[in-house]
Amino acid sequence: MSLSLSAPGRRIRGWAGSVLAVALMALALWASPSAAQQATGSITGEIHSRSGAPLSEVQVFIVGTQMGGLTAGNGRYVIRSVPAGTHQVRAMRIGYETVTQSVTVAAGQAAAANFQLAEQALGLDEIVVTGTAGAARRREVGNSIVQIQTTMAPPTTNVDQMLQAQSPGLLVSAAGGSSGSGAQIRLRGAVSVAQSNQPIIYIDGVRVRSEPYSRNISPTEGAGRGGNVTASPLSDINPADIERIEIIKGAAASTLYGTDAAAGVIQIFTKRGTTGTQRWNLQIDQGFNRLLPFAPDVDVRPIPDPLPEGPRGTYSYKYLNMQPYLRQIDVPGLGSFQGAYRQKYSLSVTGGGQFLQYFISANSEDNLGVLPQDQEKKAGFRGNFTFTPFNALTVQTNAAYNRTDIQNTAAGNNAQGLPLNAFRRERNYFQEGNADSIMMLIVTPQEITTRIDRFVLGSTASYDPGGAFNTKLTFGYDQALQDNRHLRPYGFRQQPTGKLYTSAGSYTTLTADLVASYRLGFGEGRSLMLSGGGQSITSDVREVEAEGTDFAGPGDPDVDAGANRLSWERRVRYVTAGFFGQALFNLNDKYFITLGMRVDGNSAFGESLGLTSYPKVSASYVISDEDFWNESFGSLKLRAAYGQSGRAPGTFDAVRTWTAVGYNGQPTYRPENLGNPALGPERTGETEFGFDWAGFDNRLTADFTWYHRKTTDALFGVRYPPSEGFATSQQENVGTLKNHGFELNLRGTAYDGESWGVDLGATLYTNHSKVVSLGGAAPFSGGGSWIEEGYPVTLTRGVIVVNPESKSDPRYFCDSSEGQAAQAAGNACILVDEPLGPQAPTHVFGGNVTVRMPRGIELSARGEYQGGHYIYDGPTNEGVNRNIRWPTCAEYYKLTDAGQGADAPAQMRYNCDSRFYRRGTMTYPADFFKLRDVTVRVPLGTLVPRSQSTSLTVSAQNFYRWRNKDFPIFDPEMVSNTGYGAAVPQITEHIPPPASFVASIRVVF
Amino acid sequence: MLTRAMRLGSAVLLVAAAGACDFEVTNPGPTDDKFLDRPQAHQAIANGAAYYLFDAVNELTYTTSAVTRELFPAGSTSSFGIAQRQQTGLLEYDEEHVGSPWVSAQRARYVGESGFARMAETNPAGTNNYKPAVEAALYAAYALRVLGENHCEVAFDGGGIVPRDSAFARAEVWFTKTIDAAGSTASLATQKTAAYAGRASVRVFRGNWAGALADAALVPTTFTFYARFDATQQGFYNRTYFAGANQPYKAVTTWNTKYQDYYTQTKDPRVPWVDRKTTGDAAVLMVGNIRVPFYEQQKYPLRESGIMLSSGREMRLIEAEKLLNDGNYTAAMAILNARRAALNPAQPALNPANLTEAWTLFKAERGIELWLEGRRLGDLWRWKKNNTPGALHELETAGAAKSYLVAGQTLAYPIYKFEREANENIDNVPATVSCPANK
Repeated sequence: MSLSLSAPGRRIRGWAGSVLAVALMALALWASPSAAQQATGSITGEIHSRSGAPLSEVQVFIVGTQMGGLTAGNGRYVIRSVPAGTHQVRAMRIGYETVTQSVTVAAGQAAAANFQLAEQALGLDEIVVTGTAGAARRREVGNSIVQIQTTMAPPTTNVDQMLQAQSPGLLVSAAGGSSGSGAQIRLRGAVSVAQSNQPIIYIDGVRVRSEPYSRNISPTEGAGRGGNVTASPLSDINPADIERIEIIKGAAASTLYGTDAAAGVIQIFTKRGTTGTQRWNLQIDQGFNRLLPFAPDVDVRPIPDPLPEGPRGTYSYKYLNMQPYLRQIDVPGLGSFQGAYRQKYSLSVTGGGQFLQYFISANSEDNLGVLPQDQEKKAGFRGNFTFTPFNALTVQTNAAYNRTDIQNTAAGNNAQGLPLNAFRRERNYFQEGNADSIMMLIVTPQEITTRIDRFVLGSTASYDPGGAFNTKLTFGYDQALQDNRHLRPYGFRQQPTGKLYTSAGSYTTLTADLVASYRLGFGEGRSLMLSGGGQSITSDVREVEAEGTDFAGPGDPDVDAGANRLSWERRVRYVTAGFFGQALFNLNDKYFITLGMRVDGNSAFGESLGLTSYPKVSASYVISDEDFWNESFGSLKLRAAYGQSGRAPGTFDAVRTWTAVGYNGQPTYRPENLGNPALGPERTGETEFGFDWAGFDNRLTADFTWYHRKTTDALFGVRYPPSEGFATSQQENVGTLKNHGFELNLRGTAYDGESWGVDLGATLYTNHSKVVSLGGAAPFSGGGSWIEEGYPVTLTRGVIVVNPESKSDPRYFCDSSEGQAAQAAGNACILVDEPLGPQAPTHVFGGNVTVRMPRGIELSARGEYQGGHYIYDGPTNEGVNRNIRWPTCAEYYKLTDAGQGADAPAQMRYNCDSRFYRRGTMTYPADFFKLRDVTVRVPLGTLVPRSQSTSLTVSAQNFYRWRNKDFPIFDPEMVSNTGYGAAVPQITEHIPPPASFVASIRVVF
Repeated sequence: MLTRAMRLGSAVLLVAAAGACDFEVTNPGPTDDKFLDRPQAHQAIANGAAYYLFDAVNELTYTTSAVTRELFPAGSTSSFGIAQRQQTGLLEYDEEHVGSPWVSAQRARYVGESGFARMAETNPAGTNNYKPAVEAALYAAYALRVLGENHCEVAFDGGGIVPRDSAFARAEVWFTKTIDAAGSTASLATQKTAAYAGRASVRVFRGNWAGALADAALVPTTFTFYARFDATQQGFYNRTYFAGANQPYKAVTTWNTKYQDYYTQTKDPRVPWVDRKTTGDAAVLMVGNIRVPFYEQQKYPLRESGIMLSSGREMRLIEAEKLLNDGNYTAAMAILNARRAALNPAQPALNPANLTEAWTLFKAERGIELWLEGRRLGDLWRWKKNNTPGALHELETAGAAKSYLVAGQTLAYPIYKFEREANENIDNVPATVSCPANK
């Protein structure tokens, strides 16, 4: 007997919800501040910004104790059970000056302490921890570091959405419109050709999985028969649990993270408990996702013409025939509209006493996808506990569990997928243009489900006796369990006897991290901070896959019901470990020089390589602290940094191996890997110069960074001729890549009145990459991109039609004798594999505006333009190639339908006549602008009874898009058939990422 | 201060401990090359050569059958389709379908040849009478035959371009090694007979008719030797079956081929097909941008249906062809008619009026006998090169098939683009995108 996957899930969530609520309350009560054992009073007050707006999320605490709390949405706070006497009370919030004031508390009385915090544009004394050994003040750091506050972020489903358009140099591309699809993140472009360019991720000091989860696709179906969705580990983190995110963008800052950190580091800090009154946060998000039109609405329809209107809706090219399948929302009395309902509920409580503070949260969400079978459900909880057994020792233990259930519609470059067959209409693999038939034949029968159970546990013991020495020891455990299932039942038209694929994966990352610092003084104004430590990261991947085909009859089978069964296993353990040292020289708190070194070993290095080292050096100069500096110039920090980091080769790349697999009941050895005992990491050195400036009374700030990266020993899959008979490529450390550019981030207050205010921001980011050397290797391609000396990393090649306006057939290569004759006659010929341009944007502009209105209402908007790059459009290429009438060829069809095909210019013929098909024909300039979000926040005071504050946020995300006029169809941010893990973006038979509309109400009790 | 120093020292010790981590990990999965020296691994090496040979045969058989109009393209152009240019007879160096059989055939050759050499060094008894060695040599030889029959030029081991005869010559060497290694071991008789059959077919291409006849004579008419496929793994299904089995592909059809009418009229069991009452994958431009009827071939009715590499019946065809070469068409037809009479239903005897007509019938009969076995392209090329009488070719089909061809249609595959770009001894871009006319 088999069970439905979804049924147990629902039971667990229902059960989990009840237990969670009880557990949350029990823990909250247990950890509440103990009743005062001595004469006590309380401290209460309000905290406002300089403009008078109440400030929430401000940490208010009594210096030298664990007593304190956070302000509510109305800016109020209260600290209870404060021993009578005089105390130093401090108020801190990122982006604002820290203010301390003395407060005297009388027994049984409430002392008032109100604060006004001025915005501190540069935040030079804020503490950052990412990229440094231990913690450092911003003024001490010579590299750029991005700190993203989540307080004001619009409500999002995933962390990657939260990161979109937040900083120059940070590009986040939603891979596609299917549920559960992760986003591709790039920091200053690509550093590697062969290895992942996804930044590594830390949560609260613990290294966690950053690489994509496995796709729900059988190894026997290389083309990808499932949903072709790649889920991201970042999506397992509840955005509401995040306090802030720190990002370092490359090797200049990531040296101490060693091998694997060349593409940058994203460190997520979750919320911590605070002493004082328990505070409950309830957030309810309701909204919908909606697919924007992505094809031109043209008047030349496919054959047969005109099309019948199906009962599911009107056929339209605007959605490339997808409209009948898109989810609808029924609104009573108003009818239905295209959209997929999403809902999310988050509850958290924070509080604690002197010895234990806690932050406990639970969340549940249910997001329908725009495709008919798509759905993503999440449920999770988190407990963050801070123990302070004595003043010098703090133990922070964070545990989080999240379950994600994803259900998908078959999609992508998949002959059994919905978009491909819908795009191709009655010329699809089912020979059905009728929407109801397609639903019945393709969509409904297939069950594609993915479950991910993620558990992350981290514990950090910090010992800081207050003197020169401090140390911190972190252990982390991250485990994700993934369960995939794809059923095509008995009777499925294209697999008549049925097929079931199932897989179970376990992905574990273990972190051990020790850092110690010792501060030495050398007289007044001079000090040296020595830091050292070690780190070990062990990654363990275990996957078991099974496939059963040919079932006896209808039913809900398991794999062993198949007459034919296959199975696969993969176990890969990967260890990287090293030690590091750092010396930070401080002169007069204005001049800082940091020297550091990381020495690493890695299980994937070749036998002869041994350890490898990565140096770093940086300098910071707070020039505005100089006596000669005129205060009217504002605050200015100059900075420069150089550092190296690396990317390790693949686990087996160094060894000459064969793969042993079965074939037709016989064991076989097949060539797999040529091997290279000298194989080592590729090494990225990055130099950056920049400044952080704030002027005009902190009303305008500017961060500028120029960076230059050079990756040496770059790992390339050097091609070997197939005629040699073994593998056709081998990873070798032969290449040199470089890229450079700058980042500019401007923020200003255009108007700052008592009730009204306008803040403006603009960002500019450029990235120009080049393959400096291939080390003698031939140019090579992979996944639709090219690596070629002198050209960008990676390069799009395409076909150029010479004499494109001539009324002739673009049949011959220009360098052939026929092509030369054609050219001489003024007719068309073609140049194939011509370099067109980079596949990553070369320039990105961002803009944002926030309007503050009376009653604390805020309206904000963010937009982003990316340009300078190209993208290949597979569906159009393949559709035209199959003689399917395609909307981009409407003008051509008008001519040919009228018998005037001879009047069509050569370029049009090339684009629309399958006889001239060559892969790469449809490659477009991919410039685009998107309105990332427009958000309104409305404080509702104490609208909800017994609440401290209530606020309403309404946000629309990615709902407006502009594309280059030469980009006729789809969305430039589509990543690939295989999801965000793909190295090279290209358009495939997916739907684009949809727009989101959400209203969120947040109540603080 | 001392306490602080101790603390710092402790930290340094811990750091050192971290730095002294053991980076040795053992991951199961790939097999280190050195393990293949063990005799226990040798059979799997030979099987690996077989796997790649079968893969090359599988893909070439499928793609080439559409080029030679043993099947007709039914629209699909990628994955399991027939590329637009191939549909019209253009076999160009940058076409994706040219690449994978080239890679697989070369791998089969390499795994077989290098495996044989490894076995010679590491098997205590050497290669004689050693099944893994015999099979490694045999599969390498067949891979070389595949290269020779289908490519106008070849290259080996990263070297420069050599004529296709080099592949046949090398194949002959390896068939001979197979025969020698098999010796008189009874359990290796099948492999040895296959080697005789393979060598006979190669000798035909090399014009060594005496040698071919000598080998053919050693192969009984009932002998068959197949490339085997796998019912459980989609990537290893018989591709001609899978690409035309409506699961989901209907990329080829027997519609508009000579075999469509021939089977309708004769029910000759060697060229069966069935009308599935539907149309192919996509519209076919060269016949008016329409979807064409889907007539599913039935020679390969199963995922695991094998493709013949050699057979006694092919040997009889070689003997018949030699007789035609000698002008003895009556004797040649007797061989063909013996086979035809034994079919169910029996096919009428062929009674040509003259030698030229006999050649025409012979060519058709060889096409029927070896239908969908990936051999036709080589035959068409060979007959054209030798100006063999009896015409046919130009897609040898009824109807207007010839009009579907474009200028530059060729009868062999050029060396694939990937090989050219990775092989420093060959120009990246060829002088002509297809095989030179004289090759």
